[in-house]
Amino acid sequence: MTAWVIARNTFGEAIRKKILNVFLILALGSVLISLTFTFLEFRQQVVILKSFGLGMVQFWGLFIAIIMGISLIPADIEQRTIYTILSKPVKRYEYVLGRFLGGAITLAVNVALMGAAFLLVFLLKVNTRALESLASLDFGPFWTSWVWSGEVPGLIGGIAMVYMKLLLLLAVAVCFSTFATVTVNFFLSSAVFIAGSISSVTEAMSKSPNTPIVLRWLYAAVHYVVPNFGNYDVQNPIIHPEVPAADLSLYMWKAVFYGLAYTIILLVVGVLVFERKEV
Amino acid sequence: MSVTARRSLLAMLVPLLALVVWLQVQLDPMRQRYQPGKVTNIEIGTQFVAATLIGLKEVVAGLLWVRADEFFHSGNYAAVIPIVRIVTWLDPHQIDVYDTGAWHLSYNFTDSQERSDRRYIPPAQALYREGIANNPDIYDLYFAQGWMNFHKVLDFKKAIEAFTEANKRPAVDPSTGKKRMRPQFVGHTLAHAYRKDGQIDRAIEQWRQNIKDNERYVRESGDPGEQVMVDVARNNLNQLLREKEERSRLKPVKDAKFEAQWQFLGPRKFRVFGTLDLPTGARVRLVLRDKDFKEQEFQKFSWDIDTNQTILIDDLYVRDGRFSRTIDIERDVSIYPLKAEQYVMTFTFNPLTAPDFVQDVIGFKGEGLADQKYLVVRNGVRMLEKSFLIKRNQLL
Repeated sequence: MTAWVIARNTFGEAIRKKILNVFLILALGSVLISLTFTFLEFRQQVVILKSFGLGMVQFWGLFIAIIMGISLIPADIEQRTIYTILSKPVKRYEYVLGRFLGGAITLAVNVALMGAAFLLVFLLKVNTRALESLASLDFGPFWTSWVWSGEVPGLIGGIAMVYMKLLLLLAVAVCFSTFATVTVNFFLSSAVFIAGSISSVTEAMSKSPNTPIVLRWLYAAVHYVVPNFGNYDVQNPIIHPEVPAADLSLYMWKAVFYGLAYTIILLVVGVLVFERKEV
Repeated sequence: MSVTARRSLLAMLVPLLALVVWLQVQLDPMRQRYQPGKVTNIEIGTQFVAATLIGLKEVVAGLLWVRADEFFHSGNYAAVIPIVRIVTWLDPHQIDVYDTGAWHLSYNFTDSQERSDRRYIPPAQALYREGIANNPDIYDLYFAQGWMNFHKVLDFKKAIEAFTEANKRPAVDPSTGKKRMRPQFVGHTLAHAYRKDGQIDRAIEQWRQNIKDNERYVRESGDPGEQVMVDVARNNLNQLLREKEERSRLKPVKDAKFEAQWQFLGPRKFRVFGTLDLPTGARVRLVLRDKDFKEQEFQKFSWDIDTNQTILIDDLYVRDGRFSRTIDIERDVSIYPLKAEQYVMTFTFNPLTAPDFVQDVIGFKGEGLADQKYLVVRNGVRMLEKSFLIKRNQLL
């Protein structure tokens, strides 16, 4: 319950942060830009809109997750508000958990807003013909030719995967923020994100017979121990629904469980470290 | 936090770590199915490499393709093909990129007299093959490959092969992402290809099938506008039946009085001319190639063509029984390097590629065609052909 109060408080603080709102506005602008690629073939326009839209949600979401995640706890320490909080009947694990949950809610709201804008732009694009009929103020053809694209559930799945990726990154940043300064945390979290994103490379290197055995172990360790953000890159079958993607839902569920399990690990480590921290 | 709680938390980490490793082992083989693009040591900007590594491959592919469009419209054609390579590597399901890239290779690299560089046909074919291998379940690239063989290469057998495959597969609605019936022109083009190849009975059979398919399409789509395709199919079938009937009566009596010559006008410049006693609008195909010319084979797509090869193809328009053209390749040394010692110059009249009104005189496969000097029969087609063996110094 205490954690929930801290989470709500964190969310309230986060939505007042100008930098996060700037990222959100930039993200919405980026999604809208994809509407301007009208010089390509229609099918190509739709493909680029989907890839660009999902990509931009992820790109700006990364900034939001990392900037927010690295400052959630250090900001309280620097401003000394942590003393006020911990002097009340608030357990340290509740504080860490509350901060993380608040960040996760903020992230969810941001991703949902970006995703909604992207889906709206997508529906406007695929309904170009219907919209053209509006220009002549003829609403009959508008409703008959409006298409609720069958791709929307897939795109929502894609946005959910982006959210899981960002949630995992947020957990990394929160974990590091229990012992590192903001600057150090920024570089640490970014490094972990990059290492965890090149999973196709680390996996290939860990199995390549041309790689020395010691390096193979190292790559395998990186591949299995570092949070694997590459697991959430499933945009391709979502962008190209014509290509059969067997067991995609099963894969996505497994990736969600992976992310949740890893998030718990990071939070436990963060709590254990924060318990021993002198503040 | 009590020591017990701390130990409990630490103990909890072990099964959790085991769980994530187990899940990762489960995810790895599945993930490869959904992340088909690869990043290799291709020359793209580091910002693009970074973006592809963090899961923005499709974004990079899309942006590069937008850039390719700019290059195309500014006339920088050479820059487009490497981008095609990168985009299709990053996202092998961008079917329009395969299609545009292959079209670009086969049509747009032209000499100063607008003849395309035929050495790029094999790379274009290889690009289509790769695109089809990556997107085998929809009609699009089979059809595009067939169209190139039908319209550019004039290899109707290969065109039929590709159109047949296209005609078995569905399309995808770009608005909804759902599979739908392929466009009706696919079956129509297959019928045209059979006709062009001289397989008239197969063409008739295909038109009959097209009528049935088109009627079904009208019923299922509920779009009465599609009825026009049924009418087109019926009209084409009737016309073909009429032509078959009329042309079956043709006997080889029409002496085409075919003759062809060439004349040196200066280094890399010559005139080709001759006679062909057929209606105005017939065309004679000129091919000038290395004597030992062999089309390059590409197992994988590459635009690294053999720049030592020379092959020139032109179609010479027949007017009032004569044809003539000045071929000036002085400014096109890179396309026609003329590095071989000997060349073959061939003039061919092929009834299969003749327009309808010419086929009315000589038949689908030259059944009514005769010539005292240059008649050859190849695969059941009566055609006219004359060749010259030319030494390099005769052209320079």
